Amino acid sequence: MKKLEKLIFEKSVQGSGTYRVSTSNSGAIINEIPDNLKRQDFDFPEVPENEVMRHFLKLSRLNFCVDEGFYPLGSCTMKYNPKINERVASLEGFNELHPLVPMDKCQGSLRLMYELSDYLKEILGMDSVSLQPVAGASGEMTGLKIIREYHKVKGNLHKKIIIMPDSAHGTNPASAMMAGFEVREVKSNDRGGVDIENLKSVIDDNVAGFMVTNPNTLGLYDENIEEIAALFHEKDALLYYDGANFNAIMGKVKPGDMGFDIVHLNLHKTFATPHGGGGPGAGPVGVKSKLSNFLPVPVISKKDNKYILDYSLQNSIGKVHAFYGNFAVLIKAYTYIRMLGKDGLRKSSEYAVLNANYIMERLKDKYSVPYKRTCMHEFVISAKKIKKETGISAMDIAKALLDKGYHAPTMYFPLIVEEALMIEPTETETLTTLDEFCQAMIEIYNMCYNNAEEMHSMPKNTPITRVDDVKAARNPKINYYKAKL
Amino acid sequence: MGFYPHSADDVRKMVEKLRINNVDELFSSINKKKLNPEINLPEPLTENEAFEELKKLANMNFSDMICFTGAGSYDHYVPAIVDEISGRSEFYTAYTPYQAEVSQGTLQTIYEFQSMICALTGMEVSNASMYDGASALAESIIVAMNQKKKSNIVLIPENINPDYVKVIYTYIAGLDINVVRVPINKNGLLDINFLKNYQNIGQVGALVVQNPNFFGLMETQIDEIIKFKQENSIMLIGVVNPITLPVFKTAPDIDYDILTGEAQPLGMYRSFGGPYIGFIATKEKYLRKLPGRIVGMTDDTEGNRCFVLTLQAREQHIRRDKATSNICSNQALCATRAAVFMSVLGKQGMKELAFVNIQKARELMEILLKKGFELKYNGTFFNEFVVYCKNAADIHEKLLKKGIMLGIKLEDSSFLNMKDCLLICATEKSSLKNFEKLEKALDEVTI
Repeated sequence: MKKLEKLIFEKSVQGSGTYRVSTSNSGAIINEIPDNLKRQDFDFPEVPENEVMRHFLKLSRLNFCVDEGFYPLGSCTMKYNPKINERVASLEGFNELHPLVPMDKCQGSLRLMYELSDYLKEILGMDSVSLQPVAGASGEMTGLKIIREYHKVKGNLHKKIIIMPDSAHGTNPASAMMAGFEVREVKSNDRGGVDIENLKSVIDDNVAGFMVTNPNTLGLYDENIEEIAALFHEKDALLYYDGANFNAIMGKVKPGDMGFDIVHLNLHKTFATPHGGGGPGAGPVGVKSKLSNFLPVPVISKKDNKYILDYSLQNSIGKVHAFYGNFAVLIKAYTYIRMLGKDGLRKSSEYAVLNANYIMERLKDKYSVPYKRTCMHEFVISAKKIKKETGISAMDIAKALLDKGYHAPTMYFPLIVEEALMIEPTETETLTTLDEFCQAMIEIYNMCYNNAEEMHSMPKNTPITRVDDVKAARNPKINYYKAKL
Repeated sequence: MGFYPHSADDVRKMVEKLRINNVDELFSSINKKKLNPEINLPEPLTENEAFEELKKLANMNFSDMICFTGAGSYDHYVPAIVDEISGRSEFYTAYTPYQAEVSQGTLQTIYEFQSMICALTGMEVSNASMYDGASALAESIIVAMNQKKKSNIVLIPENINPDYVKVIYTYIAGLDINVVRVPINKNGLLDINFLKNYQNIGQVGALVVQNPNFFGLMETQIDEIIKFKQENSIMLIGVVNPITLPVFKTAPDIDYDILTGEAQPLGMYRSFGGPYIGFIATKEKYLRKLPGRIVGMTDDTEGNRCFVLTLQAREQHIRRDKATSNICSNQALCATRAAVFMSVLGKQGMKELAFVNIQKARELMEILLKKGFELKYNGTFFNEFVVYCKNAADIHEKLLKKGIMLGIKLEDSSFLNMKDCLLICATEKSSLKNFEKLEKALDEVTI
């Protein structure tokens, strides 16, 4: 039944490769290379082109993707990726352009980046934007280096603490560490927001900044955000907005208006650029004017009606990418914004939030919802009660969904909810899809109580069954050639 | 135009189910004064209109210039099969392969990518990819320095890509790592005597060697460098162009501890600088120190061989502020492209690619020498080299007007400031016709 595919190395037959880079005898040049610089042995696959095509085509069929079906992976915003974006990003004028051409030869690219920066400033309520960070975590590191540099310039070297909620994404503490900060956690309250009393007890003059998503990783909007911002600003600490959940509030409210000083966005989530199975993404960073001079260089400026790569920022943290970021991803986000306009962006968030609340409403009698309030673009359910009563875990439920033709929700996150499943439908799904998904979730719930045995052995209809993670980690086999030795 | 399919009837049904009057009630946690702000954006477009707008922007770029420029971004031919496969929805519209049961396509592809990176570099293990060559090097330095906790100096020669150095400085800001620049000798290679006489050797944790270096030169002092690193117990980090590796000596003959680099030449368009793809390969003993995703082989419950994200205890979502790095999303689709590129070229094609690049660069060098340029450095180079001529900047400028970009001016680089020097690149795409055009143009501008 399983449709597995051999490794490309197992298809290799000596002399069977068909691809030629040169039709002449190019090998003679080897004689001009000194012997002590030459490589002696080189083992590499030899597979004809048609077999390479079949190999990767078969592999592709083992993947589930959002073009195939519903992908409610919380915090990842798996919305439809418009196909026009792929077409425009592959225009030769863009993809055949060397990044170091003189500025008068790349005015199209620079204009696109300048205008995209402008749009993002508008959408975020920020004063300046860098498009250079290439992923969410790359944006986080950029923002935190800015916080560090800001305090350094002011002579406040004692400000070494970043506060974040106990519900934060793992990248947040890891990014803080990479910027040389220590992390201090603040507890969540019973509404899923920041516990203000606890916050007051952990905030002091050593705090450099606060890092949070709003709505947070529970999918809940913190209504105290402006009060929280004021508490930090009193201590000259900066507020960092992790834009992973921005799909909830596009056009509805600006992070700048909530009191944030720095924001990163995940263009590969909110702005519909495809995720590629784990990147490339883009994580632009926006800042308030007092931080504009700290952004990575170059930023895109306009001078004498020409767009320029501007390296003149006084306090710049430097560079986070060899060139200007993942430009092809920026093209796609630009195109998306141009097509939707402000009403389209606003409606996207409204429908994303409507869809999430609709599913939550339909499931809340079966699955427990730890925070009983309106959610934003996603929500978290807990299988704690089900597990206690039936032995079926959040993982089992996720795997059962795979068998029904859905991608699983995000599992076991955030850490403050036991047996968590985080569901994010996005705005691009039809009511029919939502209803069918709810039906599937209800059937799975019933199965937990009627046929628990079966639930443990799911999935069965997928290319493989559950994998042995322990074996993979205990004796890591990550290189075919090493395994062969 | 938008991508939300809700009919008025759908919205009515959903709102009723939620017992609310309108969708904005769902946003009641937001301060009313801040809700629905003014946003100044252009009017929305149809797909057709957007396409025209984007074509207009693309056409404002001079992407059809004859471009003899590398410096970290290379004009290699991308086989059609690479676009064909990476353009499949199954690959490009999937998320990170957290659910192995429905992600074997991405997982096996990345396993094959890791294996081919190991085969190319001669190292034992590789991760699933990094953002680009610059960040891969910066993170390699952090990995290496974490191995040498008592040391805080990393030695970085002046012939390393200057943009990579800028990224390194940004990454290490706030960490206990200091950069010491190693001067270069008259051959453009690192000054081995500086290393031998360096006073603070006890504080040195790592040495970076770019090979070929920013000037395109292959490092010929490898034996002395290995001796230096082994005698002083220093981590050796190599920065390589992967397409040189089928031909030039690599690990384990060279005792690199970490080999890193930019894999853009393996099937990525230049695309104005990104997306590209960094790689990090190392010795097995440092496997658990690597940043980022790693795919490993295992079995499913029925005993089928399969693949899964593994060793996640290193990563941010488990280890949080104790993780080896903050990296989460990386460049998986670029790794897919590189895997297809390497598979289709195969053993023979990869060698030919290296040979043709060496050949073309020599042909281009001959032309330039004939026209009055001099080689700045004598040595073995791959597909890049530095030429000197007293009015190089002027010639560069005049050629641009004729649609030819003859490399980059090294005096523009903030670190190098090498007046009248051009860094030139040729690849397998440098055609005889373009060489002839260059010769003709040079005759016209130098007269």
